[in-house]
Amino acid sequence: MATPLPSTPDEIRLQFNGDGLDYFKIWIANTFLTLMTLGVYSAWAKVRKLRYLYRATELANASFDYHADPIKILKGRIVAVILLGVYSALGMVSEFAQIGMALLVMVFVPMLIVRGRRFHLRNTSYRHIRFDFHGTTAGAAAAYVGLPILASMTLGLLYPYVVMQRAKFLLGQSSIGDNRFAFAARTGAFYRTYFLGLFALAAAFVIGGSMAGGSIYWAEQEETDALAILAIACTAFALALIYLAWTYLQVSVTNLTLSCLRCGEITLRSTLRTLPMFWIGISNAMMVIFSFSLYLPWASIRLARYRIESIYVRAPQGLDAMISSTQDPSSAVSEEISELIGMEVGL
Amino acid sequence: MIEIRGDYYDGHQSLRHPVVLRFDESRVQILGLETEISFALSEVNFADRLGDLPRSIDFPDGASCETHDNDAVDQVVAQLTSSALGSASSKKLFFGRVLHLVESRWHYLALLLLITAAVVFGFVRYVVPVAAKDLAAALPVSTDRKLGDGLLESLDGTVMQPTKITQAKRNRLHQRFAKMTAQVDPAFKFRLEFRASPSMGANAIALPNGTIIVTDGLMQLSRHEDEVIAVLAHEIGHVVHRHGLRHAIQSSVVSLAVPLLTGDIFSVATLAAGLPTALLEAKYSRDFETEADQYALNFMRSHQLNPRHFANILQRLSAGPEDEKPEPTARVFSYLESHPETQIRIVRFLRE
Repeated sequence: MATPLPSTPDEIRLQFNGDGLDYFKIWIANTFLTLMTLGVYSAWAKVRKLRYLYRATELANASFDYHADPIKILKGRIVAVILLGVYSALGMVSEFAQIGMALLVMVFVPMLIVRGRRFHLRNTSYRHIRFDFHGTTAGAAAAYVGLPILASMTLGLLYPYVVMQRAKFLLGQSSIGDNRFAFAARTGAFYRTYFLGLFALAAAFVIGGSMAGGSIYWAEQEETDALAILAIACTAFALALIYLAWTYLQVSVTNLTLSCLRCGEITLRSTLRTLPMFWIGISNAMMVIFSFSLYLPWASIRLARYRIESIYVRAPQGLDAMISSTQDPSSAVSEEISELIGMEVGL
Repeated sequence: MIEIRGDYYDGHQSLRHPVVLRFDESRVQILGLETEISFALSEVNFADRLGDLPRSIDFPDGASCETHDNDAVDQVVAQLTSSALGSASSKKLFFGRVLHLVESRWHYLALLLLITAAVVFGFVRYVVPVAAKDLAAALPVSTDRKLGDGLLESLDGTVMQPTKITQAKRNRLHQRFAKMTAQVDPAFKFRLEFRASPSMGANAIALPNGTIIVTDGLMQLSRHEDEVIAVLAHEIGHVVHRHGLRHAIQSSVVSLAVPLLTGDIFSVATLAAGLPTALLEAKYSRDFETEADQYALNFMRSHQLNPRHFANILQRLSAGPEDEKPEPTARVFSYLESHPETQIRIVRFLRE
C-alpha cells in the first residue's frame, strides 16, 4: 500500500452530503411502495436510491446524478425473475437440466457484464456530462472466465493479477464525455498488497484460532461458568481479529486500485484506513441487528460517507475541460440479471 | 415571478456557468450567459426532489441547470401542475411531489413504517408458511426424497459412527417402527437407522426422505421403550408433515425477499440483516416442532400409549445428560441458547 501523499493545493476531496434521516425516509417509502405493488415499484425504488446517493456525492461544487429509466430496469428485473424461476423449477425436475441452463447463462455472462456496466455508466453524469463504458465482450470473457480458470489451475497464484485485470477492465475502459480513463497496471504492487493482506489473514486465523481453541479446551477441563464465558469472549475476539485482517486486505486493494486510475491529467487517490473501516463495519452490523434492520439506511450512509470522502481528485488543469459525447443508453436487462446472480460491479 | 440561482452546464463542456433562472407563468429565461435563452415551461423537465440535495432542471437543447434551491423549484412545479400547462409531464411531476410530501412528513412516514412492518410480519409469519405448505402439497413425495437422499451418507462420513446398541433391542424397535409406518402413505419410504454420535449426544433426526436416525445417546437416556416410540412418532410427524421440503421453500422465499426489501449497494450491513432472518427460521422450526408433537400425541392416544412417556424423555433431554460429559463446544455454546418452550411442550403431554 502506497503511503498517503500530503494533500496538494490542486487536490480536491470528494464530499458526501447524504443524510441518514433523509435516506431513511426514502428507504421507508421505497420499501412500502415495493411491498404494495408486489415488487413492481422496486425498479423506481432503485433509481430513487441511486439518485440520492449520486446527487449526494459532490466534487468541486458540482454533484453526480443518475438518470436511468425505471421502465427499462423493470423489464430487466422481469427477465431476471423469469430466468431465476425457470432455473429453480428445473432444479425440482432435473439437476442435469439445471446445470445445462447454468452453463448456458455462463456463456452469456461476459455479454451481460459489458451491457450492464454500459447501462449503468451511461446513466451516470457529472456536470451534465455522461460517463460511458467501452469494454468488449471478449475483454469481459478474459477477465471473468478465462483468467479465473487459469488462476484456479495455478492454485490461486494468479489471483492478484486477475483482480487487477478486472479493475483494469471495469474502470480503465470507462470514459466521461470524450475523455477516456486509463488504468496503469502495477502488477508488482498488487502482488505485494495481496501478500501482506493474506499474511495478515493467516496470522489472524492462527492467533485467533489458537486463542479460541485453547480457551474452549480449558473450559472443557474445568467446567465453570467463568471459563465458559471466557471461551465465548475469546471466540468473539478471534472472529473480530479475522474481520480486521479481511478489512485490511479490502482497504489496501481499494486504495491501490484507485491509485492506478487516471483520466487524462486527472488522477485519484483513496486514503481509506483499516481501523475506521473496521469500526464502521462492526458498529453498523451491531446497530442493524439491534434495530431490527431499521438502522440500515444510516449504516449505508455512514459507510458511503467514509468511502467517498476518503477519495481525493488531483486535476492540475481544473475540471472544466471535458467534452461531451451523446449516445443512447443501452437496455437495463443485463444489469439486472448480473445483479440478481450476484455479479454486480461497484463503481 | 420566481427566480432560482443555479449552475448551468451546456451538456458539451464541463464548464460551470452561474446563472439565474427567471420563471413566469409559461416561460423560463436563463440570465447570466453570453446570449439570453428562454424556453416554454412545457419543454422543461424538472427532476424529482430528493431530501435537500441539488437537483437538475433539463432544457430541450440538452443543457441543464443544477440548483440547491429546492423550495423555489417546488413552487414552480406546484404552479405548473395546478395550471393546464405541461399536461404530458404533470402526472409525473404530481407523483414526484406526493413522494416528497410523504417523505417529509413524520406522521405519514410513521404510518408507512407501521403498515410496512405489519405487512412484512404478516407475510413471513402467516403467508409464507401457508404458501409453503400448499406448494409442498402440490409437489410429489419424490421431491422430499430427493432432498434427503445422500444426507445419511454425508452424516456417516462426518458425525455418525456405527451403533453399539444390541441387535435384540434394535430388532424390537425395527418391528414396532414397521407397524407404526405401515398405516402411513406408502409414498414415504420409512427407514430406521441407529448411529453412535458423540457430537450430537442424545438426539433423533428425521431426514426428508423418511430415514429416521436414533443416536445411541437417546437410547441410553430412555428408561422405557415407549419413550423411544414417542420420539419416533414425533420424527415420523416431521416426515409426514413434510417439514424438510417446507423448510427449504420457506427459507428460499425469505432469503430472496429480504435482500429485495432491504437491498442496498453498500451492502456490508445487509449481512447483519441476516440475523432477523435467522430468528425467523427459529420461529418456523418451533412451529414444526409443535406440529410434530401433535402428531406424536395423536399417535400415542390412538395406540393406547401413555403420553407421559414423551413428557418424561423430553424432560430428561432438556435437563441434559447426567453421567456422560458433553462435547466442550456444545457445552460452551449452550449458554447462548435457551429452550423456553420445552416446559410448554412437556405440559401438553402431561395434561393427558
